[in-house]
Amino acid sequence: MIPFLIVIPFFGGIISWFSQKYSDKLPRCVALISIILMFLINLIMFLNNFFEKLFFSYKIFFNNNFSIVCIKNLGINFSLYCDRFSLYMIFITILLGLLSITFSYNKSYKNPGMFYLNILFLISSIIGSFLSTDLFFFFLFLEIMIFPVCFLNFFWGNNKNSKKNNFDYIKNFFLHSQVSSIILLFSILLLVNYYHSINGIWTFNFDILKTVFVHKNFLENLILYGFLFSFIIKLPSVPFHTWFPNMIMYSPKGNCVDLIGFLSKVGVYGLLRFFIPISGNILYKIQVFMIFLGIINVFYGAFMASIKNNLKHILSYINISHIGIIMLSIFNLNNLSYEGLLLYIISSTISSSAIFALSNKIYEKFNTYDLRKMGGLWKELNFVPNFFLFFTLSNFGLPGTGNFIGEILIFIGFFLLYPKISAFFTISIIFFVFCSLKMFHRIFYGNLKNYSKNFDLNFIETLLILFFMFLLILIGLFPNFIFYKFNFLDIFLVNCS
Amino acid sequence: MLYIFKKYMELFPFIIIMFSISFGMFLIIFKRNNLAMLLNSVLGILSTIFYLLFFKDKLLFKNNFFFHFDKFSVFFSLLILFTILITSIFVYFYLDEKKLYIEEYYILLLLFLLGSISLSFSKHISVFFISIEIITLSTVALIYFFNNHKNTVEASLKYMIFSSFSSAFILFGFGIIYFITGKLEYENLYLIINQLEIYKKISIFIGISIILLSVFFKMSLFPFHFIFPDIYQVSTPLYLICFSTVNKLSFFSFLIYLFSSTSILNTNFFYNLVQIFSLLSIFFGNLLALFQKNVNRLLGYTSISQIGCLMITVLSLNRFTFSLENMFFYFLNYVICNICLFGAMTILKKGYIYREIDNKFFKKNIFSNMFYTYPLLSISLFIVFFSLSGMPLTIGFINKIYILSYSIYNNFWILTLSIIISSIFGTYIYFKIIISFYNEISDVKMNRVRFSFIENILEFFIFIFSITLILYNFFLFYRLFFEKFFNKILFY
Repeated sequence: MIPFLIVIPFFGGIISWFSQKYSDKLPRCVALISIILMFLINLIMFLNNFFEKLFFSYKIFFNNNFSIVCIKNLGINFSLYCDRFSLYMIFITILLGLLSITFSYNKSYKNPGMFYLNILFLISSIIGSFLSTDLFFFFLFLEIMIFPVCFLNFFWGNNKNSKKNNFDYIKNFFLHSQVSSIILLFSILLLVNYYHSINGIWTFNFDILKTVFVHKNFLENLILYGFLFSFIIKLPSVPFHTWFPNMIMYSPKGNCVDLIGFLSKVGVYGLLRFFIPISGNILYKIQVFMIFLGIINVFYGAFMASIKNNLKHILSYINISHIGIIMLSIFNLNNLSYEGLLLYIISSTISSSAIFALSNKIYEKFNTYDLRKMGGLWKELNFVPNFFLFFTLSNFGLPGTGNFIGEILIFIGFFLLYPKISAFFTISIIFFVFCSLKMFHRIFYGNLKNYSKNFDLNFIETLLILFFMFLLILIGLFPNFIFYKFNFLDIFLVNCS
Repeated sequence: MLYIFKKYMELFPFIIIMFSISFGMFLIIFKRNNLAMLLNSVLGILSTIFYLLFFKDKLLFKNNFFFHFDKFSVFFSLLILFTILITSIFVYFYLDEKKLYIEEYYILLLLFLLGSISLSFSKHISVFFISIEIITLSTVALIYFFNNHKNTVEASLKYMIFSSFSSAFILFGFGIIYFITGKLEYENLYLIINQLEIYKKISIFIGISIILLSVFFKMSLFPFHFIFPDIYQVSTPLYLICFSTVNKLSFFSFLIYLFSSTSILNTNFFYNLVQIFSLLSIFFGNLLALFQKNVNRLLGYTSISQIGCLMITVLSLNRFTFSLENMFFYFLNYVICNICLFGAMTILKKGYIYREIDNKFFKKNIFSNMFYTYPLLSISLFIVFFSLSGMPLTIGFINKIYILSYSIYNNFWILTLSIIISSIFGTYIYFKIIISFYNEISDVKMNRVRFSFIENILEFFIFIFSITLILYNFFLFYRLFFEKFFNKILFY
């Protein structure tokens, strides 16, 4: 059952590309059908995971493991493993894919088959990176992920001036991701060679490789720092964040933006899965530095968001500050903050992606992202302003939503470690409130300025947004159902003691 | 008759090619016909290929005084024959409309083939030297054949002068070896070298290093690379199909035989020498390619770094666990990529009326507007550039992993650093080229001229070749079938 999650979008993309010959509307239908199929499969897997007796008789189909021998000499297996954490991440990916396809459904692109092929390949590679336990295939999926993003931004990118101008930002992104991936490859090969020099076996399986660490060598430190560095570039932390805002700024008119934003969550996943279980003493050495970096991320993101006048820039800088909170909670090493982390990842991605989708709707009104040329939308539209208000409120942690509980748990965990710094750190909430309310005020209040068309959300789009709201409130009111028979700390902090 | 055939069995590949050359000359004398020349050369090449494939088991034990037969030389010569076969088909396509003296191109190509095959089988200095001279003479003529650029004469003259210098140096190096050992063939030299005294050994090593450096010149490794980008810029992509592959493959075959017969790689000095040259060419090839504006020149610089990688695979023979298999696949990858790339460029160059490609790299080059006019070709080139830059799902990725793991396994840290940096540069360059496929130019000259039948067939051929770069992955899942298949053909 697991490989279908990778195979369906892959072949769906190819079919949508070939269906472009017959009509322009077929590719998006194919993309939508394949995404809905994946959603159903994911639901079945969730049900199977929660209630084990439900599909007991068909256990072969609903197995959590899957592996095929790929290269026998080097010990590379195409092995997939699915636990609750990766199921949640896949669930979010599929939701975002659904959002991006429905919000770009009514637009006409130049080469629709290629467009949907890129989106589906991106989804399949992200899901593959969440599922694979073999380091070779994890790297492979990370590497494939770069290209659809580049092509989406280059060919369907939203830049009125020229393609040449757009290419500069893609160059920035491409070089950053290449550097990070080649460092990752280097450290993976170092790890494999290190294991071979001790035990005489070639494997790329991470479950076997992580037993080799003694935490006394220089070589082990090199491997660990390589992993850390590459993942820090992947989640745009502060010194390496420059590709992120412009990449989102010039992304296509529909809503595949949030998929690009979701690339950062792959970095978070990599840190949790592949860095923390093997980093023993190093984690305590770099803890202070990483927490400091996270705090810098939060304040820098909030500061830049309050300065900028561009809507997309503001949203992306708020996203960077969210990543700062996530980094802070990862390196806290508390049970409380780890539980908050999972809630925070899920709810913040849902809320921020919904805001991105709505901001694209606003763009269609005014034809700019510039806040100075907007104003007075509140009277004109029924659905968009209300939804926008809800998601901005949940983005800075309104009580009752999932973000609030995640943030509170993270702050309590942080308080147990450094009480004085965390007391100072709560000021950041005010920054969030300031910049997001300022943005809201600029767009929806004041005098009505000239705009082109008059329209609102579709029926399907409203349904999807309502579903997102429902999820956020569900997590906010009943956070315990996520942790049903699931201990987050046991999975990652095995060796840390 | 049978007795003669059995006695001179190993000479038959050369005899067949020579026969097809002379028959082609007679054809030109009586009547000039493009198709007849094509059939002649294709028949000659195909019969040599089948001869090598059928009689390879018997040929292995027929070591002549002049020629040797082992799995490397047979493999390399098969690759060379394959590339020349494909180039001759492309020649028929390309020479279709030109009028004057075009049939000689086939004869020059066959001469080039003869020289490179005899070089890859050679084990005596006379054969080696004659074949080098045949290669250089035919190369000079082939570069100059289509005088479509203002600098063609300059490039061909440069190549002639420098290659004659390097062949003189090769003679000097072999002269030193002959002076001490009294042998003109270089088979099993290590038996003699081990018995010599130290000062004689040192002089033999000096001779071998002179030979190595001049061979590095012929293969365009880094410090000796300077005229090769000029040749890439000036000559037609039709000729580059064989110039970028055959010229290097034959020298690699020679080098492998030299390394195994003299066993100089066991000494640290030679190992480090070859490694340093390959390291420098890996790094500087891609670094210099970053600053180029012309596409052909850029491809010339990137080919230097690819050849550095190939040298490292040759170095890793018998030093790493999977080096042999990896070497075969690296060479296959290199040959298929170059055939697809330059074959596509010949089709493009003929398909568009627009022929000046020296303009701005990003806006107007030979690849621009390609995705809309030649969709199948653009997909195949897409795969080729992915494989060259070592992206996943292609052979190039697996080769990159083999090279990196080899250099990490032996703790060559500088080599790993240079591979890492050059691969970043390389992916950036190839990505830039891939992006330029999709540049829309609303120029009448950039529209496709016509849909000829041969053009479509060649497009389909290139597509199939490029697909094989990906299909390798799916073969991996059927490992058993794969091993049997390759054991039959390669690892006998």
